This record gives sequence, structure tokens and C-alpha cells, in this order.
Amino acid sequence: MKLYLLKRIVLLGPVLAGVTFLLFALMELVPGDAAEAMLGPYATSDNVQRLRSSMNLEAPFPERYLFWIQNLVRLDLGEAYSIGRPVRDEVLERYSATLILAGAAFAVALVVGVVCGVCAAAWKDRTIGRLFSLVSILGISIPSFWLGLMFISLFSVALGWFPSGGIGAIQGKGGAGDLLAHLFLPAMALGIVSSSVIAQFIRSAMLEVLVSGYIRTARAKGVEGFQVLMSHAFRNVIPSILPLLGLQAGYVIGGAVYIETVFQWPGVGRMLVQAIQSRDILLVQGGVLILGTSYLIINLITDVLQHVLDPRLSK
Amino acid sequence: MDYRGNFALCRLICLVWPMLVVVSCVRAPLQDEFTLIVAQSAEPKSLDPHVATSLNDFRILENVFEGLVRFKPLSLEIESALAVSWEVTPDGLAYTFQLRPGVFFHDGSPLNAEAVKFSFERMLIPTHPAHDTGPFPLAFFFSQIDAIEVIDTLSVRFHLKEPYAPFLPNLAYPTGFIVSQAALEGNKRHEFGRHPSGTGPFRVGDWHANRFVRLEGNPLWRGKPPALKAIFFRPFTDENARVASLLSGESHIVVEMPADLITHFRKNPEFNVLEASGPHVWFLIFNTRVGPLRDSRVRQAVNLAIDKRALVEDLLQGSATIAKGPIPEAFGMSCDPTIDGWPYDPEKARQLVREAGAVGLVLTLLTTEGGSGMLDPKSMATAIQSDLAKVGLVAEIETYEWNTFLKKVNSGLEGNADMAQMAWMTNDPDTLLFLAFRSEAMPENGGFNSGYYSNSEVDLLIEEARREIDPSRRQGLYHRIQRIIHEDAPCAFIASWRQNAVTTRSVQGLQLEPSFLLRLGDVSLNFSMEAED
Repeated sequence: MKLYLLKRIVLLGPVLAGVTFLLFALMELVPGDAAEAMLGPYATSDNVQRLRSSMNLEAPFPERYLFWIQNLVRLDLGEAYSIGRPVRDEVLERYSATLILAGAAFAVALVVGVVCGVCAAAWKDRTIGRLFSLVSILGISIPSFWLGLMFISLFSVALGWFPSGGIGAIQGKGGAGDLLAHLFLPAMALGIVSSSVIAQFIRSAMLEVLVSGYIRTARAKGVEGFQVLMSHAFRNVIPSILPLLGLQAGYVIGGAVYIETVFQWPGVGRMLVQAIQSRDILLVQGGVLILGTSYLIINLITDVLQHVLDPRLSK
Repeated sequence: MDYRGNFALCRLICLVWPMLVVVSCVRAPLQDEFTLIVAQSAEPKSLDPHVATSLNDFRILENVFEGLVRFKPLSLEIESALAVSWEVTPDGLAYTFQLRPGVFFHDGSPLNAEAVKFSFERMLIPTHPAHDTGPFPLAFFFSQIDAIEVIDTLSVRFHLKEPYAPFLPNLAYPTGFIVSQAALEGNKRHEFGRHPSGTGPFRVGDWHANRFVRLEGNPLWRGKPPALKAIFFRPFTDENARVASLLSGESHIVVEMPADLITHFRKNPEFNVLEASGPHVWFLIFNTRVGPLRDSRVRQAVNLAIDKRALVEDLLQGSATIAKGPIPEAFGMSCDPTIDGWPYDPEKARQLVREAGAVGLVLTLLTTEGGSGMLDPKSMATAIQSDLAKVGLVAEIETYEWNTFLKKVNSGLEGNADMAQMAWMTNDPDTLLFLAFRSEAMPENGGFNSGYYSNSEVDLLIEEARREIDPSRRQGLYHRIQRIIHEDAPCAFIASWRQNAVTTRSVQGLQLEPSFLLRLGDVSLNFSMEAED
């Protein structure tokens, strides 16, 4: 197990290096350059040239890549020209907002997904079971940004229950209640799609397990229905749904790009959209790097957890 | 019937519903008569007026800073601001300003001639100690300044390299605002863009990145205190989110409302829709150097073939007016009222195309995904393509991302295209003409004359107009320029964007300025207006 963990952590290095190279190379292919975007439509070629030199945009690709890597090691990601702030400060601030949203969305996905999946499997031939299946199929079919817009129309505009966007009230003391009020709609919109995927998967896995011999034995021994469902059946399903949960955790972080735009949530996703529009390459690199790293870490945690829960895999 | 399952569902609903209500109760009300919330389309880039280039930033800066002069309300004429008076020498080479006494910056330092000199020299002199707080993309507005002389504490003289009539309008634009020298000294000078100090009726309270910029009343303000105690500028990059914030009562003013939604708000008595034309012009540049558009008959035919009314009223849904030439109507008397622009006459256009032997010729049209002031470029390109097809011309559209598009167009259309869309927003009639319609402003010389238009008479008139400091004579020169450009048809002038803002009924005293700047000093909130209904 320890060896496996060590191997996985060591492998993170080359993967991260690959991510940074790919990221840098992709940004190189994007048309337009930062100097022109910065000076706008009034840019004269002289001014563009001067700014390009001052921003070191004239240097060849490998030289700039190595320079960027050197700075990255020192945790210096440069200055984001479009907002006039260091990229590191902006990305870290935004990332904490994304983590709050993604964490809440994942919690919604997990709770709703498990409840719906287990209920749909337990009552597969009853109305409520079919209803849970229907809801989860609907959830998969609805794009989260559309669901977000519908939530805003209903809960913010028509009913006035929740704020339509932002991370906190611009007046007042803020606090946990304020954060929760702002978090509710985006977390639901983002989490519901994932919860449907989780529910569908759990339902199928549970249905397979529920016809197993050991479940029949447990029931024959007089174990109570709920206990059979959770302690015997669901417990055995957990290792098989872990990779899916890892994927969904990645999805909620990636999905934050559009949900953050719809709800004006000040996270990395919204920052990336703005940075791409303004050709702020350093900011895009910083944002994608932190999202990519998160994805790698989530994968690592999922794999390790799977090995912990199912020792057969280590053998 | 499975009652057990249905009961479980009811239990679930009973559990979730109160949670929803409890969470929703923490939402704070926004009905405060002293706090205005403006929903903008983006996070400000910088609140340093010399660094800022976008309208989004200018709307905030207009309330925080002042220039020596300013635009009169609802006009592009000049009136005094930080200068109580000014004199211009007969040769137009020296402007002497008498500063208003007893004016202080938000940081408490006094306004004096040294501060004025500092404000311009930091932009113009590369060796200036504060020059590294830039870049200053619009500093070229003041490139005609030769020297700035401090006469005494409250008198300052600008010496120009040559007579330059747009000098005063440029001083009224945010790039000409006066900044506090004290705030740009010491270690925090690079923070000036986030913690600026001006003399305006509001000062910057705090700026929470990606959430809001809060302005608060300036206690050192010399005039009548504004009715508002705080103004929040909130960034909503998504237009739907901007609209939702207004509908849900989380903002009072939304600027740049999409054209297709304006109609909805016009019909809703809960909101006021404000619209005003500004100094904006959207046009097609023709390649007059090579290709079919070298022939003036083909250029005229394109002008006659485009149904501008349909573009403006149907496609842009009334969010723009028809442009008649290179000088938008917002410039008042500088725009020749006798020129009506090219009418929509496809029959005559067909005839001209036939005469020029251009039937079936392919014209490449460059367009962009979207960009500053470009309205709805792709749809407009498609509509123009269809209009041209009706008169026997084939337009091939090439669409580029904004910065690539600018690079292609600004480097000149030769080898790139026959036509290109472009939009300009200026603060003086001279700017567009000088930068894009002179023979000397060819792309190879660093200018923006991408279609290579060249007319020696126009060149002389543009030079004469920018040196002419007598307003009526200057207007006459611009009328002559417009007439010649109309006949030469180096471009097809299509539309002038009408800026808009939608407000809740509680917002009182807001007017949209032709300069597109947003003045909030006289704005107040009155919620009893809404309560009456």
C-alpha cells in the first residue's frame, strides 16, 4: 500500500510537468497577443512592439516556458495585466470561492445521489422508486447552466427568496447565513446533475447486489430491511462507486466554469472566462494549472481510498 | 397503490421546504435610500484615469475625478471644472488655466498647478519618476503638449507643439483627469489603480475584487453634498445575470442592456429605460487601393445596396441610429445636418455595379466574433452579405477573434480583404478623421487608414480643422470634409450606437450623457415612487 502511494505521488510530477507544457503550448496557439489586447483598438505598432519587449513576449517559446517554470517553482505566476494584480493572489482568492462552491455542490450530489439511488433500487417496483429514477434521468438530461437560469427565474426573480448571484451581500455583516443564502442556488444547480449520475450508478449497482446470495441469506436470517439495504448491500457498493465519485468531484470543479458565470460566483471558472476574453495568458495559465492540479489530487485521493476500502486491489 | 412510498416522499418535502424558507430568510433587504447599486458588464481594470481605457472604468472614474474642464450636461461642449477660467493665445499654441481655489484631493492634499503638471508629465515623459505606474494607452490624446509651465500656485500654462483644437475636449475625457501627486509618491504608488485619489464628489471606499467597488461621499467636496452616501458598482459579466439582478431588486441601474431585452423593460412600468446617442460610428472600410472597390462606382453601389434602416431597426432592434458620415450626430453642429447619408436604392446600386463591370465579383468582408463597440458584427455581416447579393455582388465573410481581427484590419486591407467592419467611439470630431482618413495615416506609417483613402483636399481640411480654435469656423470645415467623404465613399457608414440604461423607478435624476460617462452626483433614490403603486 505504502509503495503504491509513493508510486502515485512520484508519478504526479511528470503528469504535472506535462500539464504545464501542454497548457503553455496551447496558449501559444491562441490568436492575438497580450500586448495588443492591453493597448486596445488604438494600439499603434510602435506601442505594441515596446510593450511586447517589456513583457518579454519577443523571446522564443522554450525560453519563455523555462522562465515561467522557474517562476512557478518560486510560486511567482506573474502579474495579470487585465486586473493589475499578481496572478497567484487572484488565483488563490478565486480558488477558495471555487472550492466552497464545488464542495457544496459535491455534498449535494453525494447526499441526493445516494438517497435517490438507494431509494430507486429499494423501491424499484413502486411509484416512489420510479419517481426517483425519473428525477435522476431528468437530472442527467438537464444542462446545469439552464437549471441555474431556471432557479434564478423562480427563486430569485419570481419568489425573491434567494439572491440571484454573488458570494455575499454587498451590505451587512455577511457571515455563514449570508454565504449559505448565496451558495444555495449555484450549489444545487451544479450538484443536481452530478447527483443524477451518482443515483443512476448506485441504483444499478444496488440492484445487482440486492439479488446476491448473501443478501438473501441475511433476509432469511431475519435482518431488518433497512439494515440489509445499508449495512449489507450499500456497503459493498461503495468501493465500486468511488471512481465515479472521483470523476464527479472533477466534474463539479470543471462545471463551475459555467455555473460561476451564471451566478456571478467569483471563482476560478468565471475568472478563466474573463481572462480568455481579455487574452490574459498568465491568468489563464494560473487558473488552468490550479484546476488541473486539483483534478490530479482528486484522482490520487480516489485511487488511494479505493485501495484502502478494497484491499484486494493492492494484491 | 403504494402509500408507504408516497408517505416517504411527503416526509422528504416536509423536511426540505422549511430548510428553503429558513435559508432564504437571511437575505438582506436593499431598500436603502442612500445606497445606489449599478450593475456593470465587467470588473474594472484600473481606477487610475490615465491607465483606464474602457467605458466600464470611465463610468466609475467620472464620479471620483475631475478634469480642468468637463463636458456640459447632455452635450459635448466644454465648461469649467477644476479650472475656473482659461485663455488661449491667438496662435492657439498656449492655454493658460486659472485653477479653482480651495479644492482638495481625497487624501487631503491641495489641488495646485504642480498637481496638474504632474498629472500630464507622468503620462508623457518616459523618464518621469511616476511613468512606471502605467502603461498609458491613451496618452497620445496629449501628444501635442510641448511643455507645462507652473506660473503660480493656481495658474498653469500648457505650451503646444502646434495648434490643436481637440485639446479642450481631450482634457474633459478621463485621460485628462487630475490625480493626486501625494497618492502617487512612496511605496504605494503602484497601488494607485486600486486606491485612487481625485477631487470628485465621491471617493473610492473599498474594492472587493470581483464583487464590487464601493464609492462613498467625499467629505472634502466643495459643492452640494450628493444625495447618495454610497454607490456600489457590481460586475456582472453575464448579461442574464445583470438582468436578473435588476428584476430581483439587487441592483438599481443596469447599463448596456442587450437590445432584445430593452423592449421587455419598455413595457414594464416598474422600470425606466434611458437611451441616448453618443459619439460612436460603426462602418465598413473599403479597400480603395486594390480590388473591385478601387472603383468609386462599386463603393457607391455598396453604400446604396445596404438597407441601413432594416439593420438598425430590425437587427439591432432600435439600439442604434443610422450613421450619416464619419462625424456622429452627437457632435452637434460639427455634424452637417444637410448630409443624409446614402439612401437604400438597390436598383441604382445594380445599375452602378453593371456600369463598373463588377457583376458577380467576390468581395471579402472581415468581421469579428465581437469587440468593443462592434454591436452585433456577425449578424450585421450576414445581413450586408444578403443585401449585396441582391445587387449582384458576392460577399465572402471571414470571421476572426477580436484581437486577430484588429491586427488584420489595422495592418491594412491590402492582401487581407476588400471590406472590413470597424467601430470608433471618440470625444472629438478630429480623432477619427485624423487617425483614419488622412493620406499620412496609412497603416505602413502606423496610422489607422486601413482602406488607404487618400484625398489631398480632405488632408488639408483635417489639418486646418484641428488647428482652428474658432468653433463656428471649425464646424464649417468639418461640414466640407463630410461632403467630400460622402461623395468619395471610402466607407459605408452604417450605425451609431445608442447607449442605454435600465433603472428601477426609484432612481431619480439620472441622465445619459453623450460622452457615455455616467454622472451620479445628482442622482437620488426614492422608494415611495415604487410604494405608490
